Amino acid sequence: MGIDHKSIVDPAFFSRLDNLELRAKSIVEGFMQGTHRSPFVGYSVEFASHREYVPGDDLRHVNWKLYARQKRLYVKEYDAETNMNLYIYLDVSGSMECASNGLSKLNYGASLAAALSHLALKQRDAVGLTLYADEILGHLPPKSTPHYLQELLQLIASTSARPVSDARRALPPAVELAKHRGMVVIISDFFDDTEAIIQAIDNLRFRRHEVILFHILDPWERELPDDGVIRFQDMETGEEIVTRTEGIREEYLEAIGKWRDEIEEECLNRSVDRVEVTTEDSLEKALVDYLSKRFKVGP
Amino acid sequence: MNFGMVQSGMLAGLIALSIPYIIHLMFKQKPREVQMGSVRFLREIMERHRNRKKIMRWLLMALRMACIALIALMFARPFLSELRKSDGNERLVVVLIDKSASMQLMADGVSLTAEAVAQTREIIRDADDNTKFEIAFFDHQVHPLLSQGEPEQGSNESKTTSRLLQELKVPEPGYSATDYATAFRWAHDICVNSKSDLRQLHVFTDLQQSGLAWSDVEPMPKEVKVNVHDLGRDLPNNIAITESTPERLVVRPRDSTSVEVAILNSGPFALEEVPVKLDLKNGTRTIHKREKVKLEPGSVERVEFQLPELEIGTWEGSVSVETIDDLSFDNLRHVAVLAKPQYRVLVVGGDEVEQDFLSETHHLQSALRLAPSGKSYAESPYLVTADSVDASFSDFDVIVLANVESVSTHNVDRIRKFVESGKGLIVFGGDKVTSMNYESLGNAGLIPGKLLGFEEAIDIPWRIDNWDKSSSIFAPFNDPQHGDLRQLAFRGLVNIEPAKGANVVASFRDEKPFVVEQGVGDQGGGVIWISTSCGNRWSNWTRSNMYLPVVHQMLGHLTGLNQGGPLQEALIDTNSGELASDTPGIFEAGKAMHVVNVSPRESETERCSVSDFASRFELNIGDQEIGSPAAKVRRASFSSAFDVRQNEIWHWILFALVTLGTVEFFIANRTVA
Repeated sequence: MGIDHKSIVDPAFFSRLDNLELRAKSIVEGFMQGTHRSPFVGYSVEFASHREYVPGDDLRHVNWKLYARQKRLYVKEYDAETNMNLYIYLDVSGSMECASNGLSKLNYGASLAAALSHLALKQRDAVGLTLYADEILGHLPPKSTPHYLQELLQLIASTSARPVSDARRALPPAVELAKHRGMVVIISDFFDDTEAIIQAIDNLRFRRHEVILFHILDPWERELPDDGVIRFQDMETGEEIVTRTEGIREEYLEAIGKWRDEIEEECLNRSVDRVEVTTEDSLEKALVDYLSKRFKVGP
Repeated sequence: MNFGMVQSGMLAGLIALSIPYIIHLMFKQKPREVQMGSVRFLREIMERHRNRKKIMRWLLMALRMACIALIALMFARPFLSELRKSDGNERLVVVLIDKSASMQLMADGVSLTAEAVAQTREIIRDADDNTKFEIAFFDHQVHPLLSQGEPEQGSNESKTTSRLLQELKVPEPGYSATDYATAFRWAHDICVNSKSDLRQLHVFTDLQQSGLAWSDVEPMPKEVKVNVHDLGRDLPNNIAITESTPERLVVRPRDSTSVEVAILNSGPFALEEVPVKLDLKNGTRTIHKREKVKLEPGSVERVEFQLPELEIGTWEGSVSVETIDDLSFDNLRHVAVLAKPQYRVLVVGGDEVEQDFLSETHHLQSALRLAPSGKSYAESPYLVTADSVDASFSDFDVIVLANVESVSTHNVDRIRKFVESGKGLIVFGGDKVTSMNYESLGNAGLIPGKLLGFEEAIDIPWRIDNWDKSSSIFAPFNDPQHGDLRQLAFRGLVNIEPAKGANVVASFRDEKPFVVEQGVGDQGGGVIWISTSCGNRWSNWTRSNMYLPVVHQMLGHLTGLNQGGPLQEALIDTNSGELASDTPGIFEAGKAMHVVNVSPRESETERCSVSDFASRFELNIGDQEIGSPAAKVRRASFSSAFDVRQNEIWHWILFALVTLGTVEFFIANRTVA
């Protein structure tokens, strides 16, 4: 598998991720002042501390025993905990190994999965991970233990990529693995049977999952390389096509744009978020953009 | 429009040119490897444009082949020639190309003659099918090419333009002088005899003034349009030896003489200490002389080389000036001096008298011992010896038999061998000359006819009635101021019936021969028969002032002195007559040697203007700008690959090539490999 384990667990990356968490949190809190609610609202009531009562506080949270001792009103504060299940589906097919700028889509996707897992586990959400290509290649059921991240990362690093992808075959059983209602994040380039992908999304939506698509593309896949005669090789099928990029660039951009619009439209029709990134985009920016979008629109 | 190629050989470069282009394309098409997650969109595009791709490939190939063809065509330098609309009228174009020595002047790396030929070729190419060409090179003579309409030998087809172009080549460098009159006479005759509606004359020349000989020329018909192409250059740098004349061409052994040399500087600059040298050689003996002269512009300096005593033989060599100039043909002049003794004449008389002055041959011997007036020799050219016919003939050049009674068979045989070896025999008549006595001589072919016997004038003496005007014996007397041969009166003669092949040089009335000559052998030997006596027995001619010249002319005819002597100087010029060669040098011509040199007229570089030229020959020069300098004459691109013709279209081909290349680049970039 082409995933660089070190890049996933890079301390610097996680340090940035912590900042990301803070930023995400501030975004969430900011939005909470408005009409939106956190996507990670949980049901946990774990006590955190006391504070003095201010008018408007819920009287149910007043610690009357403490009032008896201190003759002052204190209200109990609790850490926000959720019990949301986050299902991450990571495409590990051969096409994800495309790396025109040195960073493969798979690496990028793995980092993204790790980041999401980290964020979710920090909020004590349960995170499950499913790796798929032409079939399910690895699966970890949702858990919320803090050390679960290591297991997730280990699974990503240890799984070999399959040369081909087959969404029609791999996604239906993956959908079955998301048993409890929660959020499903699919990280893929979606170079597959679009109909099968939409079918899987429909199944997830039927099970009342929130579905988010992270559509990862290589820059060359989106815009083609520079001018010249180029022998293009399909990383899954090995098919080769030699052409001059100048002669087909316009048509290619039109074709791939049409495909992306088609997926986007299907997602919009199903209230599914689709975030399109390339491996040139920074991971943090991708997440912030997503969260911003998420809280603006809201479920 | 007609197409032509300046360098059609470049078309052969089509193959060679395609090689680097193909190599270039091979390297150009080497693709870069790129891995993509999926090529399904590329595949869809490729399949969608499969047919278009195929068309584009063919189009690309056609474009590339066209590019290669254009490159080759461009290097072949095609040009357009204006094709005159054929109106059915026949045109005559006469072209005169100057090939005189002065046309060796180089301009832009080629001689003026070569340039003239190139421009003529252009005229031929530009002409339509109704144009007939008459082309001639000229110097002091006219050298016509076979005309376009003239059928070739062994073929009924008329000469095509291509054949005319093929035959029109740059001639070898000439050494002849210019004579425009001769050339215009030739052109005039052609133009007058032509029935063409339109007649045109092109003259390619350097307008050398010395070529304007003031001989009469019929003016060219007014309807003949004349184009004078002035190819010459003003003020060329030319140092020439215009004269190298020995004081005496023929000297006696151990005599000395001198050679006077004239050096002309026709260039615009003065020259200091120009070396002039004389080199002569006679077998292993040589003479080398060297002088230095200062030459002012336009001046002629003279140098005299004093020669030492000359040993017997021909001293051949040259006088040359050591310099580098624009015209090299006149930097050297050939010179020769012949050191030889007098011609020896054996006079055999038939009468036996005690006093010499009473003998019949006394007048003859006296006349031959006298030197004729003239510059060539100060003494008689003949050394006369009176002896019997039994004497040795080895030292003699001519034998004279004067009324010899009989000659033995042995001596006849000796005389025959003597004459056959190229020597001469003169036989005078007399009372002892009878057919019986001279039978053996006649049988040996030494009498140019059959002797008929003695005849005597009874009432009226015989006088010379007729003579061969072209014979060197009596040619001087064609002018009556030199003497009237008809005044000579003869009372007796030995009549002869001339043999077949004999030439009656002079005759009396009733066509009785006076002088008959006949060649003997193939060495130039000959016999002269005089039907009267050499003394005053039958005539009064010995007392005439014509006796001496006549007998000298007879001897001169046999020895070659009448033809100019054993050594003759000649110029390659209009009045040079028959030359041993049309190139400078020293050549044998029969009994004589010819020292042939370039005419000094060709060394004169003064030029006349086109208008002077036109007025001299009364030419209708049409629309041509009078007095146009040579620079205005268009330089044709012929042998020089760097000259550009005005009507070349290579730049249009380059434009087309760039356009096609751009289209190819555009299409190639949009066509899948």
